[in-house]
Parts: sequence; C-alpha cells; structure tokens
Amino acid sequence: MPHQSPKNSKGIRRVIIVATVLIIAGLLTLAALTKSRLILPAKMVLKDTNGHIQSLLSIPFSRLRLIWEAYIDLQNVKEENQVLKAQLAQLENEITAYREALIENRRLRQLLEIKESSEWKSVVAHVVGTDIAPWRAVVTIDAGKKDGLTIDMPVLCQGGLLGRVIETSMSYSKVMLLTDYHSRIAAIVQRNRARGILKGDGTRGCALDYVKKGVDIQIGDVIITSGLDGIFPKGLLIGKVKFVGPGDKSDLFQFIGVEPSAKIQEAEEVLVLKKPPSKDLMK
Amino acid sequence: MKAIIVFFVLSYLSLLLQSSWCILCNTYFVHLDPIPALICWFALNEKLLRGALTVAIFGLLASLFSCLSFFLFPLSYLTAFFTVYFIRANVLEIPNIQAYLITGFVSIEILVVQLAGSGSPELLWPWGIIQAILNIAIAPLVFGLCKKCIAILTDFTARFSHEQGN
Repeated sequence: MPHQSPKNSKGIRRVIIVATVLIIAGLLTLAALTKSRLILPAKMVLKDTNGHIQSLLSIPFSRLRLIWEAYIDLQNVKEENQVLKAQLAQLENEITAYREALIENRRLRQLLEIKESSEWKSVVAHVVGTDIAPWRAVVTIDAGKKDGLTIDMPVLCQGGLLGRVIETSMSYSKVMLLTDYHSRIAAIVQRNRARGILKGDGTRGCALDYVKKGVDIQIGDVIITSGLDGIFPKGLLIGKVKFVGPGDKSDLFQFIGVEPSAKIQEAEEVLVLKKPPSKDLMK
Repeated sequence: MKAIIVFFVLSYLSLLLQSSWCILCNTYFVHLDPIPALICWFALNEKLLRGALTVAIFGLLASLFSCLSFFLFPLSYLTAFFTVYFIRANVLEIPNIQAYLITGFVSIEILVVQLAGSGSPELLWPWGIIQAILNIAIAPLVFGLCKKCIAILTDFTARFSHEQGN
C-alpha cells in the first residue's frame, strides 16, 4: 500500500515552521534546565521507574544466558577437567609461593610503618541493563544514591576493574566500562612502572597510550591503576598486554593493546568502592 | 490515535529489549534498532503536531535509557520525523520500497546527531552506514508489524463499538 500525501497548502507550511521552531526552542530550554533543580526530581523518578522495569526484564535474559552457558560448559567439561587437574598442581605450588610473599609483604609493611588501606568500603550491585547507544559501553546497576553511591566511584567485578560510576539516581546508577570509547584511566605497567593512559576502544579491548618508544613492554605484562587520576585507587588490576607495536616512524609513542582481566561480558554482580572522605588515592 | 498507540508501545518495548539484549551478547557498534523504521512509519501515517509531540515525548523517554545528553534523542528523532513528513508532504505517494530506503537515510540522520552530539562523529564511517543498512533490512518487518497492530486495533475497536451498539 502506498502512503498517501496530505494537502500541500500554505497553512500546513506555516504550522510546520511554527511547530519546528517551538519544539526546538522547547528542547533547548529543556537542555538548559537539565542540570537545574527544577526537573531533576522528575528525571530521577522516571529513571528509577525505568530501572525497575529494566531489572525485571533482565531476569529472563540472565536465565537464558545461564542455560546457554551450562550447555556450553557441558560440552567442554571433559577437556577442561584434564587441563584443570594439571593447572591445580601448578597452582598449589604458586599458592605456597604467594603465601610466602604475603608474609614477607606484611613483615616489610610493618617495618616501613605503612598502614594497610582498609577505609574503602564496598557495595554489591547487579547489572540490570545496558545503554541503548551501541557505541557506549555503559551498564545500569541496581544501586544508587540511597546506597551511598556518587559519581566517579570505582567499580570492580570478577577479574578486576570494570569501570566507574558516571550517573546516579535514587536506586540505580550508570557505570562507564573501561572499554568505553570515552574511558580514560591512569595506569602503570606493574613490572617496570611505565606510566600511560588506558583508553577504551569501544569494543572489548583497551589501549595503553602515551608510553614512549624504547620503554620495554612485553606481551603478558600486567597493567594496574596508578591512582594519578584521582578516581581509582592505586594498584587495581586492569588487564594484561595483548599486543605491542612500534607504530609508524613518525609516532612518538608505542601502540599497546590491553586485554581487560575483568569478565566484562559475563559481569552480573559488581562491587562499587565507596570513597573514604579525603583519602589520598596515591597511598 | 491508533498510530500513536502502536508507535509508542512498540518503541518502548524496543527500548526495553535493546537495553536487556546487550546483556546477552556484545554487538559492537551496531545493533537491531527498529526505532528509525518506527519513526519513518509513524511520520507517514500521523498528523504533524500530534506526531511531533509524540516523537518528542518518546525521545525524552529514550534518553533515560542512555548516558547521552538529555536532549540528543528527542532532537535526533524529531529531525527524522520532520524529514519524512516533509517528503510525504511534497510527494503524491510513496511506495513501500522507497519508504524502506527513507528509513536508511533517516537512520543516518539520527546517527549523525547522536554521534556528533556524544563526541564520537568518527564512528559514522563505517559503523553508522552499516547500522543504516541493517535498519533498511528490518524496515519491512517493522512496517508489517505496525500494519498488523493497526489491523488488530481496528478490529478490536469495531467489535467494541458493535457490542456497545447491541
């Protein structure tokens, strides 16, 4: 069925122009008021309502994924069992070594009179939805202002750092993942303390920028937060170096691809670190 | 009125599904987005003021599902709505195949506003174009679904008024 056209008269044209001007003016006013206190409560109530609906809807999708994962796991269980047995023996040796290192570390800390950081409290939350803009790696979690969350709080999940809080309403918050196109985190290479800025590539990985050519970076090097950005505490595990490239001749810096340690796609429960008052993140 | 109900219900459902579906799978920079096709269908079937107001309200609702600036969604959706409406106002009739192609063009329009407004205009090539092609591909389904919903609503209202008459 073809779509019929309306009458093309001057009246319609006038209405179109007036409507366009009115709506654009309205939108600009709304944009100006977005951060004012006038519409903030209404926006917060709407966000909470949406959050409740999203969290309800996320339950069947999470179940579906669990069923699918259980099936996949069953397929690989035999092979995995053999690999795991071998890994277990290796890990037992490693655990013994780590215990030794931990005891040594405590002893050294006592010697240096460095207090262990215990002021960071945490809140557990669940992922209930994602951003509808596919180029933004942002998720919604079911914890908000009532749980004490504020903007820029670090968020962790199984494996390591996940991202930071960028928006909060009363019961829900939005978390920008470290893989987001606009995410920037101050990071260092654990082995040789080389500093850089970790940039999300918008898909599943990250890149460590501003590391000069000639600095020794190897595949598998562990990347941790440096704390220099004033958002993330020092020493949070980010990921491992996946690729190192010299870049072009004209480039001043190396190209370093980083694979996040956090299981971003499987993240269901997350841990939000609540900033202690007036804490120096560098310590 | 029926078109408004169909547009609003289907668009809101689509928002909910889009925000939940990505928990299941990473879709990189493109995803199944029936909203441009819905706006295109709506602009071809609704009056100007009622339609523009509905799209603006829906845009505000959509911005709650995203971290993009609050006015970007209403602005991009209204731009798409007006474009299709202007085309409709100046053309005698639009065959379905051309309506699907218009969906692709307005998809690019929507993405230009949203990507530029969110500071990532470089993603338009090639991701925006791929998204537009995907939107053209799903447009027949969306148009068909809307037509089916309108038919169900018409049938329902006819039955209801018939029962009221008896």
